Amino acid sequence: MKKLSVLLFVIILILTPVLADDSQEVASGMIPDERQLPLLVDDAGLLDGEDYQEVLDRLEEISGEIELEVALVTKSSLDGEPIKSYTDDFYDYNGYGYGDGDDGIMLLISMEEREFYISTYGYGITAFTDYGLEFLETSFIDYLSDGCYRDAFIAYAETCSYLVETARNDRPLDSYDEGGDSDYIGNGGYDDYGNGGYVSDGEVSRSSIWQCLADGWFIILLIAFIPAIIIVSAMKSQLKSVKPKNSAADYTVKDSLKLSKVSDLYLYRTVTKVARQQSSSGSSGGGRSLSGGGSSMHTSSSGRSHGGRGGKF
Amino acid sequence: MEKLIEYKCPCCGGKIEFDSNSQKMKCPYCDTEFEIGTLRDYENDLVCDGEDDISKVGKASGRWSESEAEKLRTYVCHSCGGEIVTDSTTAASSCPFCGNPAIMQGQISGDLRPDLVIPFKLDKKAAEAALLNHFKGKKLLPKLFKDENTLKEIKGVYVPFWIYDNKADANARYRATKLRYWSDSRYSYTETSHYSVVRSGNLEFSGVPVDGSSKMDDILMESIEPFDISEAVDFNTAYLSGYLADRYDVTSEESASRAASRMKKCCEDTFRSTVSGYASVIPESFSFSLDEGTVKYALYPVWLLNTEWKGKKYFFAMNGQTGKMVGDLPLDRAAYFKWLGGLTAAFSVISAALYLLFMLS
Repeated sequence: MKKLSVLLFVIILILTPVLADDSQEVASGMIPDERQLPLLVDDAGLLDGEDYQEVLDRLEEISGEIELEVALVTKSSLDGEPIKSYTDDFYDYNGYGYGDGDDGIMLLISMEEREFYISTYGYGITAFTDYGLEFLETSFIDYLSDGCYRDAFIAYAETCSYLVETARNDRPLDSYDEGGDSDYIGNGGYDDYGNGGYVSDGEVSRSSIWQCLADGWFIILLIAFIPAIIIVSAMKSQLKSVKPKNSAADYTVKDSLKLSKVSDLYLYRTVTKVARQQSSSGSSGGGRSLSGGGSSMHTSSSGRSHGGRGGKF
Repeated sequence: MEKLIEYKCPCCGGKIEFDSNSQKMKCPYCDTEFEIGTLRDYENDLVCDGEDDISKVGKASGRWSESEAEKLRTYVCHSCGGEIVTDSTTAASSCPFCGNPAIMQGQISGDLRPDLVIPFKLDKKAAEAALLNHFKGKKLLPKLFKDENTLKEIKGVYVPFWIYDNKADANARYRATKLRYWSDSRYSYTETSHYSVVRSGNLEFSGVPVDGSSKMDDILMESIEPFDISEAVDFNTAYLSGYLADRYDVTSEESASRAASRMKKCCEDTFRSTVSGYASVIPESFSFSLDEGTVKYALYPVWLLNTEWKGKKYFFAMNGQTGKMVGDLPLDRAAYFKWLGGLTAAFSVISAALYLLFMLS
């Protein structure tokens, strides 16, 4: 009897940590509340002072706007460590992430291996689907390969902003958007991202304005014509003053109107009803099957679940 | 024994039956329910509809005295047949209607003597000035018109009018609706309440003028109205001196229908304006009748002018009492299109800006 209970006790003692680990997240002491490092960490020295500041400012600005931290890390070498776990850990243990959910995305580049990895956490996992991450990659990969690091990083930041805005205002970009739906491509400016090119804001606006005007010239003229014809007709009618007077209103004896019968008789009533639109709960864009790819996840060493995508450049 | 009355449904016209379930009258065709009292009152409304009756418009009857008749002369124009009357001291030199020299002289006889006259308040100079003023401010008037037009004729003429005083009785019936909206979580409701609105009563008219000369364009004469009859005085041949008076050639009975239709229109408008508070009002019936009234024969002062420009004659008339000047002016086509083009271009800028704002947001 005694041997059995001791054996039982030992078994429980061994199992407890294992069981405990499965059921709860890692102790909060290991992951800092505050971010320990800037949003842009350039250990590989790819950017000079000016470019660094520019990229950092943009990252901070965007992170504030979309309420999600967009981070970027460059390293000259990972010393053999796998880039996926390195990025996840870098994100977790340096306290990256916005708000209670630590929402964020991090792009880590290692120059020696010429590898990159994008890690997402919190709302970042939802906003950046697998398809979205592919989309994100194509926005900066060419710049990265060409060595245009500042351009690559700016493109990364802008695309992150776009994807999160899309996710918040409509729904996350996913594979069902592949057909080049104009809702997502926007006004002729954003589809440039898909082609790996980055066009500055000024050029996009100007060309799309002319395009828009060229399409709508007929309607514009029609709308302008209406007040013009009204005014000119009024001017024309000034010329005509010979008109018959059909009413003898000028000749009524003042206050001579006497009404002998004033009756407002209620007859009947009819009621018509129109069915109201039921407000749809969460569904949007009727007729579209929402069978997107979603976001695949993996667990990092901290025990937290991250989304991500990696590759070579 | 009470007469069996069949009621027609005010909504669809079918025969209404008493519905024992609801204890109301119900139309089996459109399912609308009515109170019994409602249907009876509605019948009363319908009974008041009637036909117009303008038979009692008055007849004029003044006659010239012999001494007056001596002082007056009539002239007849050979080319257009226009007839004018003036006193013996004024020589009519040309026909105010067609410009030809008037010829034949004659005595007044068998004509009605005017009851009233509104003397000329404005003279020839005032008429010329008013014409120039008439040209001002008209943006589409050809610029050359003002400079090149030649004033061919200014004539002060007393135009004969039949003046009607009547009391009008009218009965108007309308179908009106009121709307009420509300909604719950499943439906939006619209309730339409239908009413039968009746307005019955009388309105008095005094001094309704109708042009008694076929030569004078009636529309032109109506355009220079109103004439204020309170300034009219009893007729005296002295007023004719220096002016021409057109003779009437339309009888008061013939003119009466125009007077009646104007009075009727005024009644329609006045009664309609007393119906308010409804979402929609549709007139269903209007009947009108004139009580015994009076007709007077009056001479009203009118300045007639005509100018010529580029071979075309333009006619103007001015109210000799109020100074109101009317007359159609020519249109400068080129200016018309220039203004249209210019304004369209100007508005295009605004329209384009709005369009871009709408499309790119």
